[in-house]
Amino acid sequence: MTAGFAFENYFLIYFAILLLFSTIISLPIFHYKLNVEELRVHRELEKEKVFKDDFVHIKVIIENAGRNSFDFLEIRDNYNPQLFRLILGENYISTRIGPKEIVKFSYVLEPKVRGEYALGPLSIIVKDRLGFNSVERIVPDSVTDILVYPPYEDIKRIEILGSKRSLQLNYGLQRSKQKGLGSEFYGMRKYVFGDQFRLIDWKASARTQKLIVKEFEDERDVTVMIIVDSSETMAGGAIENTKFEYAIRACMLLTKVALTRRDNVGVFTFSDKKNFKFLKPNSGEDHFYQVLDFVARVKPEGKCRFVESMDFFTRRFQKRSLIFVISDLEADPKEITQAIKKLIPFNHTVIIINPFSPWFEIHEIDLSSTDKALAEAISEAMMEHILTIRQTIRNLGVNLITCGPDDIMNQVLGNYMEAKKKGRAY
Amino acid sequence: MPRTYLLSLKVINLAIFAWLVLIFYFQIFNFEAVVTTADNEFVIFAFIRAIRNVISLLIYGCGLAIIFGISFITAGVYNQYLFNFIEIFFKKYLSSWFSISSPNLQDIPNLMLNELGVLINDLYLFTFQVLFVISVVYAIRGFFKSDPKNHFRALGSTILMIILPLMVTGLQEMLNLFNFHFQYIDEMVAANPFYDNQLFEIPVDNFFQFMSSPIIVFAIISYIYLELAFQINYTDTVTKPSLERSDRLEAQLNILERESHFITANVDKIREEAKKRMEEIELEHQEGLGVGKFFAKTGKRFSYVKEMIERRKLEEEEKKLVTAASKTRRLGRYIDRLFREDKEARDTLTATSSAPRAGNLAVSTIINFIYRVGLLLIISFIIIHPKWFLDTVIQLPPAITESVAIYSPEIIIVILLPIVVLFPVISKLISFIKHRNLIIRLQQEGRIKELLTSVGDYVKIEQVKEEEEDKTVEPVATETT
Repeated sequence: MTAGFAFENYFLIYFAILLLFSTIISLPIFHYKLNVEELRVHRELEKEKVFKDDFVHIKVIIENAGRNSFDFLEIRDNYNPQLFRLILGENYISTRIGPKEIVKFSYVLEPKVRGEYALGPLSIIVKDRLGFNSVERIVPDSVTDILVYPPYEDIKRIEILGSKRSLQLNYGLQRSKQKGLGSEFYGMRKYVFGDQFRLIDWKASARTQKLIVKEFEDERDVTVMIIVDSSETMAGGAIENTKFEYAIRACMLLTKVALTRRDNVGVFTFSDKKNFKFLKPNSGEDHFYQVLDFVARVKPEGKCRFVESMDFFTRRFQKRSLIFVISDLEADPKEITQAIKKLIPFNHTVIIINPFSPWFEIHEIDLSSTDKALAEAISEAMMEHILTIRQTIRNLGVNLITCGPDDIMNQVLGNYMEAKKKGRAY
Repeated sequence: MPRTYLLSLKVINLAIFAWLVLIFYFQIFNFEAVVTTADNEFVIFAFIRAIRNVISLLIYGCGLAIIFGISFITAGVYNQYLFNFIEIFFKKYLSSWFSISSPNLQDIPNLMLNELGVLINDLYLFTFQVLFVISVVYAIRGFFKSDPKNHFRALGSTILMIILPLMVTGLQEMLNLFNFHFQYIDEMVAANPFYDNQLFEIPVDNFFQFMSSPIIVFAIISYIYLELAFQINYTDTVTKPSLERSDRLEAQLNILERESHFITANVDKIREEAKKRMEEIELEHQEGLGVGKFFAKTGKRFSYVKEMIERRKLEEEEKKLVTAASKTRRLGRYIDRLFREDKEARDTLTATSSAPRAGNLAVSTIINFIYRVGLLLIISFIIIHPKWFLDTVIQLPPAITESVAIYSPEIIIVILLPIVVLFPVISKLISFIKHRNLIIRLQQEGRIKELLTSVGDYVKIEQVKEEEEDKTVEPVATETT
């Protein structure tokens, strides 16, 4: 236009006027037709509770309840890419929607991390046809909570093996329950002085020409308490494979096995006093889902207050039981010893499972030489710390097992089996 | 269907460009004036010859200067030989090879200046040809790619062919003010490529005459070309993602369907290999890589970081393969189940139903196009004819409407500025009234929270308040039964 006026050229002036007005001429109509509240957008989740690494189908439905069409609509359903992985489909769409029309799109997400997370919000960008004007809005109340359970993989493996043969054989154990006065057959052995005559199996005795007695399983319930450290130090390492995630997986696996064997299971998670969470021991198949729900909601946060936590625990629970404490023990050794001492008077059998921090936290393969040296130094220091604690609590009769990500599950299950076998759980 | 519709829009737009070019070259711009020189020679050849001559003279002049320099430095010792050399080599051979005469050294600067003058004039004319080629290339590119930038460049090149002579004329006029005269510029101005002065005048007072004027028709068609380019871009943007998504997802689903059937055997194989490897790792584990052993070896120096990294490296590859294969199989099963349970899942995943219908698009494009172009023509007519507007609509006295100022182009601004401001003001007003009405309606319905969220930034204030309130309340330990 400047050139048009400078050269007194009507063509340039006229063309500039056309271009200038082309950008603003639709503005009043755009605002007049812009009724975002007439767009009803909502999200439908296939399920609101999923296992980690499972898939969830999310459908977004957009309905134009108004009389005007939206020429250009961009709808994006937001999710945190650190927590979810897009597996199939797309979480956004660009389209046009006429009056009273419905547009649907969907996508499949895979939760990467256990916990309770929000999906959304849904955002809408409305543009005019030529892209000169646009408005962005967030859809009200478009955030949906989704609860991600720990991965079901470990449980599924046990279930598959369990369906093929007896669960007790899975771990190479010959006995899983204490022999006693129950009705379940346990085994046979030679008669020894003092055995009840009613237990003699006469047929077997006749066959072997020696006195043989039958043994039965004891059917007493065992209470297993799993105490998980949920302090922020447990969240070190890659987000999907922290010590805390492994601890939760171990907790879930132990719960499943213990409940299958009709034991009572309870869970207590702790860090500072704002984050004490206690689930009363119970048994039965339903209780497993309660435990799942419980552990799925726990976040690793706060400082580790061992003594206060054990105080809280002993106030709520005194029954003699088998206690698993899963913690990285990144606290003062004296405080830890003091805390463990609080459990001793109740005759609990205490097993401490210690995920060794460096094994979990060094997740990069290509470390620089400086990082390697640093990692070595940290691991040495950490090892000294753990050895000090182990030395102190050994005198209290408490076993401390240090493990890495590869053997934490085996250690937890192995110690549970061992404790039951030896009758330490009673 | 949307693809056919898009293609037809592109064909129409290309036809409009052809029309534009025809009007431009038959009614506005005399293309012959820039194709041939005054000597009836093609500009391109004249331009190349001028370049060659300038370079030839430069080399010839430099050669001569060097030879004379040497002769001067050697104080005439080799003069006879050097003059023979100049006579034979430069004048007989080199000058004939360069197709220039054999000028004397003192004549070369003048000759070069003359050739430069020819070169600049030819370059000026040649620029129009280049602009024409650019314009056609971008118009063709615009046919294949929907980005309006191509259309802008095509039209911009054409309009530059109008602006360039105007700039040269402007420069000449400016220099004349200071009594400067350059022959080159005068020659460029003399090669006026326009048919007449219609670019500087438009018919006034008559709408139909105004509309039939070649420059106005050219401006309107140029605008229609751009408008249609934006409509094409819109159609492409609104349909392409849906169509591409649909194609992509269909392909992905087909691959998944096919792969998930065959993957079982692969997973077993990979697992078997992984198992073997794990057994090896277990052996190593027993031999001293475990944490337990690590703790037992406190007396020895034992690089546990190194051992751990070695283990990870071994595991990683197999783990990746097993995970990928297993995930594909799980996903295949999941999708199978999903499609069985939810009949519309396939449609929603591929978003097939979300693609706009071609019919709807065509109708809305036509309505929008007519509305925009129609309104623009009316507004632009009013703006470009302030006299008519001030006389008929505002009814100002003849003392003003018949004044000299009313016939100057600057009077356009008097009408232009208020109308330009009018549109954003009206839209803001509409926006304000609509939100106000919405607030009142939602307040009446008791949906104040929804209102606050939908209106915009209020939600952030609300959230901040809620968060602050949350902070003040200390969380209590929870107990679940």
